[in-house]
Amino acid sequence: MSRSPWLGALASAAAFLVLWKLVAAISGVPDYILPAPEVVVVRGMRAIGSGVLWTHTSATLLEVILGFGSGAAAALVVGVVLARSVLVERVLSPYIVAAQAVPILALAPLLDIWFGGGLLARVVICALIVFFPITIATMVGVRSVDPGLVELFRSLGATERDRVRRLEIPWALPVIFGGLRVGVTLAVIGAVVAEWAGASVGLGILINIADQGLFDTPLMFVALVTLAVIGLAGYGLVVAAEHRLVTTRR
Amino acid sequence: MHETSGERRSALSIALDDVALRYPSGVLALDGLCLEVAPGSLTAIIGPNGCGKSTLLRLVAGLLKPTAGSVRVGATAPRAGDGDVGLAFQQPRLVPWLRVADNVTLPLELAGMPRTEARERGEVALARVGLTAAAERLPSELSGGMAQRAALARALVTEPGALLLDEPFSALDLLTRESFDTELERLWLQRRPTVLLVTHSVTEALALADEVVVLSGRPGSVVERIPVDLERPRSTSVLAGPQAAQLGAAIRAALEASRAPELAPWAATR
Repeated sequence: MSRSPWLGALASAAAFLVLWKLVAAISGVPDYILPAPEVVVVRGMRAIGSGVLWTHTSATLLEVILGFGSGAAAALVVGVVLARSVLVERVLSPYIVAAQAVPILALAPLLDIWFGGGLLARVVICALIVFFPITIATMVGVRSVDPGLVELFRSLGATERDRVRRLEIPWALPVIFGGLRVGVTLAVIGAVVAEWAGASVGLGILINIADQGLFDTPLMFVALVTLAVIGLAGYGLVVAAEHRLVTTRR
Repeated sequence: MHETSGERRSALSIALDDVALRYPSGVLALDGLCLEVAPGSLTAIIGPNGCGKSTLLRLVAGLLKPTAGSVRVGATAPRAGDGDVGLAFQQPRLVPWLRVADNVTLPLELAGMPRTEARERGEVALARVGLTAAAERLPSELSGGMAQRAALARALVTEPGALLLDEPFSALDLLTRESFDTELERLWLQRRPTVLLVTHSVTEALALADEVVVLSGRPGSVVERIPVDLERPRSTSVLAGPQAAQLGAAIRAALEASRAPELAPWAATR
């Protein structure tokens, strides 16, 4: 039982590679349009060897980690506050929704100017896109707390802090993790968008470098695969944390 | 922090003086309700649906403040969480992700008691309700009866001077319920806290109470108090005897009278 999901994932990855290779071989398109998998692997090894890949990957990774971390932390706090006060929700939610509705791609250049164009700006852009789904998940989760348990905690003289820590957050955890799963994949998008808005390193930048004039499509594929791996790893970590933290319920 | 001394509290008197309670919705749940309960007694509160029985318990537990009149538990107004009062609800209300032992010690931990001491007292409370073997289980792994026992242990763990039971066994099947009544009487006889028991069942009231208080329909007030002078422990033979039958008839008659408007809904003015 515990081994079968890995076997399934491996089998589907192998099938994907075979399909990719077949399409590349049969269609006969040149490498600068669709490189075959082994071409990408060779290009990837070269990029790893020269240190280029790690330079860009580490920059993006840092943005993803900081952006996701700060965005998720802020979202948890705001989500709990929104859940507990209808007034605050009425006042704040239009702004939160509006910030989410404006495409991050359009907002990124402005944020880049505001936050000085450095790492801080990129983390803010990344955090902003992460913020929304986790805020909403937290709010919905906390609102769904069993009123019977709220009354129990009240009858036991629980402080507000105890109520949040021992009842509302644990109750909302499965829903919050739903938001975190969405958020962690959005963090990768946020990082790339932020890099395009103004950065000199990062996987988004590596894609630009491979594109502009070089037509180094295999290198572009290397960057894309690396982004996908970051997203998968983040998602996997969130799921693992979820399995650890969410105990069986009713 | 709250007071949680190791010794058990002595039984507390409960007094409601001309109490009215109006909910923010405008519903007047109780009006002109007077009730005094001696320390260490077991009082059953019975009345038609919606007469404010649960509201009365919430007032005594300090979860609600009376709109008019005063409520006292011992010498002071009740304060939720001071440990004077133990409360068990109709549903067990166990925290789903906490093991039974942690559910039972929750009141102590919220009151700031050190973990090891809380654990010891939790074990005692679990033993009293016969649930020691299930201490490490999650609530989802308990039967309805076991869950209700756990809830009772949680209400007992602070050694409260007053125990408030809001139809605690009404979700159980009849046989389990009768054995629970016997068990509850045994638990009560051990330490004699003051008990207010809200119930729908005349049989249950007879099996347990020193006195049965009959409430009127909404807004609730006390219409009759019927002392139950049956010997304890109340065996099946005592409960099947002529004296019990007579008392049962008296309670039913009082209930019937208090229920009258509900039997003639067409006469309702609304």
